[in-house]
Amino acid sequence: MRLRHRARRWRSIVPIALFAALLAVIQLASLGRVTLLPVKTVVVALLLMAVSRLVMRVGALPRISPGTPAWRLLLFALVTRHFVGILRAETARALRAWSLAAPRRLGPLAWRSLAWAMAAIVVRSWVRAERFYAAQRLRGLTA
Amino acid sequence: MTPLVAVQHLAYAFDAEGEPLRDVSFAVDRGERVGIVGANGAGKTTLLWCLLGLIEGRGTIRIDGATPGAAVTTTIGAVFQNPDDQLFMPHLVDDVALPLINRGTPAAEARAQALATLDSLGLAAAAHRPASRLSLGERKRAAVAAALVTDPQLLVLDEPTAELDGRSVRQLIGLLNGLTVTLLAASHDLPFLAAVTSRLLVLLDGRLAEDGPTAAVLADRALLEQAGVA
Repeated sequence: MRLRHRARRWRSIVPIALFAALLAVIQLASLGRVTLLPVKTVVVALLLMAVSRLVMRVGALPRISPGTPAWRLLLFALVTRHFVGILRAETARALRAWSLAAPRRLGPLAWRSLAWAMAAIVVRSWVRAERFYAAQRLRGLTA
Repeated sequence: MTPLVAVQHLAYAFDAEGEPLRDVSFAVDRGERVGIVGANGAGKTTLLWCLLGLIEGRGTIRIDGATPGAAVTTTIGAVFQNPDDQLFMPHLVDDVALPLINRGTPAAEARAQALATLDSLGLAAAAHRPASRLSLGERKRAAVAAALVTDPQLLVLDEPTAELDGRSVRQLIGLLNGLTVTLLAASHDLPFLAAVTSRLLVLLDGRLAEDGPTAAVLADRALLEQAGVA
């Protein structure tokens, strides 16, 4: 039970690692090398996830004054947490669809369809991110 | 009296080939409840995004006399198709209070106002729960609360009944019919539009094919079939 709980907690890393891997692929394709950016992405995302989890656990939000650096950091952490959630949901959906379409058959076709599933995750996450940004812009978050 | 929303010759193109909006003109008076109906890809969401100032088309848009960019944060409350795109704070009350806090309202006052808004929409019991723990119907109503908390003149809803079950749709209809705010709702859910709006704009391939009373438009079967919604 405890092991399962821990495994569920570590599942958050999967979409972050996937995002970092995609960054690495894009860098490799465009620059011909991979910088530290993907590693930094994973570290910062995990730190922000920890911050948002801590804030939620101790209920610190009402005690932080809006407009202060701590408030901005907190909002950044919460937005990051939300994006990780979006990535996780889209990753799970795409992989479930892929496993149904290409059930346990390895070979060029399965790998190609997996590549398409990965591309679909990027596109769907992009669309969701765009809508999230639009919604928060209307709520004055980006002002 | 000048209309609250005035759109003239609005056109929008993604690229040289795709033009989801072509020469759309209409006006919405204060207190009116208008539905935008059309098939998938007819241009409903694009029209709403132009009104919200999120994308810029050709032609003119005035909301309470101002351009969308300037008007948007003070005049319009928007409810997106997926409430998860709006709600991300630890507690619902924080989510609803956020637009007020972003506009400079003191935090305590913003939270009190948010609680009052949630209470008025029957969500007081959910105020201190995260939005992710609520049902989709509750999240939709919470998104409406987050849009209404700033007391907007115009409430814009994009596919408000998408993925909702019958009971949640009925609750949403009851909620919207209890509001006095000017309403602009894009949907292809005809029974919902019949229950909530008094006027319908029919979009067909990016053009305004019809603009008339809801009952009259819904009675025109041939038009609805041509528009791909019946």
